[in-house]
Amino acid sequence: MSPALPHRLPGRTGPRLLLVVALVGALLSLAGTAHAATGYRYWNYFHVKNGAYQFATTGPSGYVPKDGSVEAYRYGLSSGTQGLHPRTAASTYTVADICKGTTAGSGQKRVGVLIDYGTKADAASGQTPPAPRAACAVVATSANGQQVLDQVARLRVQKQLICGIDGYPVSGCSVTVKDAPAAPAGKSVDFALPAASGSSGSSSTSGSSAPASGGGGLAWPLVGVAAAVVVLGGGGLLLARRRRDA
Amino acid sequence: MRPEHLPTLPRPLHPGAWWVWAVALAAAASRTTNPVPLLLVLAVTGFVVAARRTRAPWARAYVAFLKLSLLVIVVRILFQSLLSAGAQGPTVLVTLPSVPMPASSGLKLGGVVSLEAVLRATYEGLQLATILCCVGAANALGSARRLLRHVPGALYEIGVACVIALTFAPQLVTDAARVREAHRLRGQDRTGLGALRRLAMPVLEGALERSVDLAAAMDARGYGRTTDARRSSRRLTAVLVFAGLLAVCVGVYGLLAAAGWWLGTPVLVAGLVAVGLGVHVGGRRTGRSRYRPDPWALPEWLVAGSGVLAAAAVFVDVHVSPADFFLASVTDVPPVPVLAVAGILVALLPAVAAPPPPAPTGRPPRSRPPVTPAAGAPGREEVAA
Repeated sequence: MSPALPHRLPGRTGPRLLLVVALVGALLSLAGTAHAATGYRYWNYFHVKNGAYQFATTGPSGYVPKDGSVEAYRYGLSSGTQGLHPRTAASTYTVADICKGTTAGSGQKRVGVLIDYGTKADAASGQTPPAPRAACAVVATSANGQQVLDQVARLRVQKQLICGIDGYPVSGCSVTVKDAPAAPAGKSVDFALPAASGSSGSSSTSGSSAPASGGGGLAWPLVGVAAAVVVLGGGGLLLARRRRDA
Repeated sequence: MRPEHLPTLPRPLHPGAWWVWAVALAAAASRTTNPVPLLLVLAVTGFVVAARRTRAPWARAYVAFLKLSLLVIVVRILFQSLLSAGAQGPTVLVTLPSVPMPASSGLKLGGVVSLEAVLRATYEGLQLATILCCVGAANALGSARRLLRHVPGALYEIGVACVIALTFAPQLVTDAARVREAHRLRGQDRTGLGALRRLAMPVLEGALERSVDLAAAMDARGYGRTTDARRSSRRLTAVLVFAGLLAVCVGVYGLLAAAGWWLGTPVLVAGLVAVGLGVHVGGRRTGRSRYRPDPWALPEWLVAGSGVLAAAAVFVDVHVSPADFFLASVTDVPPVPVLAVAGILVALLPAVAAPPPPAPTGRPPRSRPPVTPAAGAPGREEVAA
């Protein structure tokens, strides 16, 4: 507030300051050497190009897949530069297989989506991953990868990152793992194809953790909480007004 | 039973209890983006503030924080729905006229606004808003000035400095208004750099004068004396506190950067122990008595305990059933986590368990401090830490 008058400057500031700087520097350099290969447990995102997986360089929202292309997602631990491939060859499922019986109208496109929830070893917290599945998205031509995925799955997005697909994993986002082990060569598995006529296969997911939002009885807790919020808010307003008048 | 244990005796509650309660609720809110517990926390804090706030000027902080948090939500919705191309989902609400933007930027201006983007922005904004309102509740219920009286003895000088700064900050505003008024009466223009210079000089001068006055007044009352001024104990305190704080910094870095196990928790704990020791050693050398100390009695335990209980319920519930706290899809009907909701409702207890604030007696509220510099020294109550 007032300009500080340096009337009681300590005498030997120089050496003390040097000591402090040296101490901080030593600690920081110690910290710097302790880095190791880190991996990330997250949803790896691939485009299928020429029968091979191509690790995406952008997030799904920054890429517009072409009509008739296939996108693939795999949950698991990867280095972040190579990615962890879905457990099937990229050429196994083509759009023709995935989107059999589905047609796109004008201004729409068909995009096949492969979703591999990974193995139990990939799971972060003992959650059992659902079986891998394929789905066919029929979306507007301009839709980006995230909108394509949003069409066929339930997305949990935090800070513009896709953290969960169909409620898997339940919580957390891009877990950093120190000294990540190399990904084991996984066996190939079959992906569940959508039923021939349905364009979205989200009903086949294992929704054990999700609430059954259809049941009328289950909405009662929500109504109760809403009533509590209204009563508390109204009561608070009433109290505040009465105190102001008093 | 001593009278301060009664929750009906009007007295100001220990501000530490209010801060524990509010920070615990904020911690609970930080664990979830589910709007059900978040809205409940908002309602609980609002109700308790309405029931137990005083007539002091800072008690209006809650409303200010509530407005700020509404602004946070609105800004978030506007940015995400109008500017972010990536956030949009398949459920289109409206399509606004749009301005073309380069595709690589990930931005858009106008265009499609989807339900997913609006909901997501609302929920994320609601979390921040709830935390802000918890801080606002703590400010409204427990005066930061009273809380500063409880800083440990080793940090006594810093505490006094903070109290004086907090006391004088409103006075600066009054001073500036007075000087501007004087300029206006003399017909001088009140905009531009020149006006700022003419404004700054008298305000700074007044502040300096007042601080010299205050220093003299405090000197006369015996502030600034140290009872045990041995060099060795002073130096020990400084080394312990400084090394401890440094170790805390390094420990937090180690925890966040995941740079080796030994750099994280052990260094952090060692640093905290060193700081605690330093504060203890430093506290021994100041033999000061407290003026009208705030008791920590049964109501304080109840208030702080209810907040901690609510936070514990939310933390346990997040661990047991995380699916209830992180929506698998924003368009889902939000689930109701029963244990967390019950815990948050317990945090309503202070609305009755905290003693009612004392009624203002005789003395007018000190919202408008006197403007003459000589009378500007803070009352004994504020400085006596």
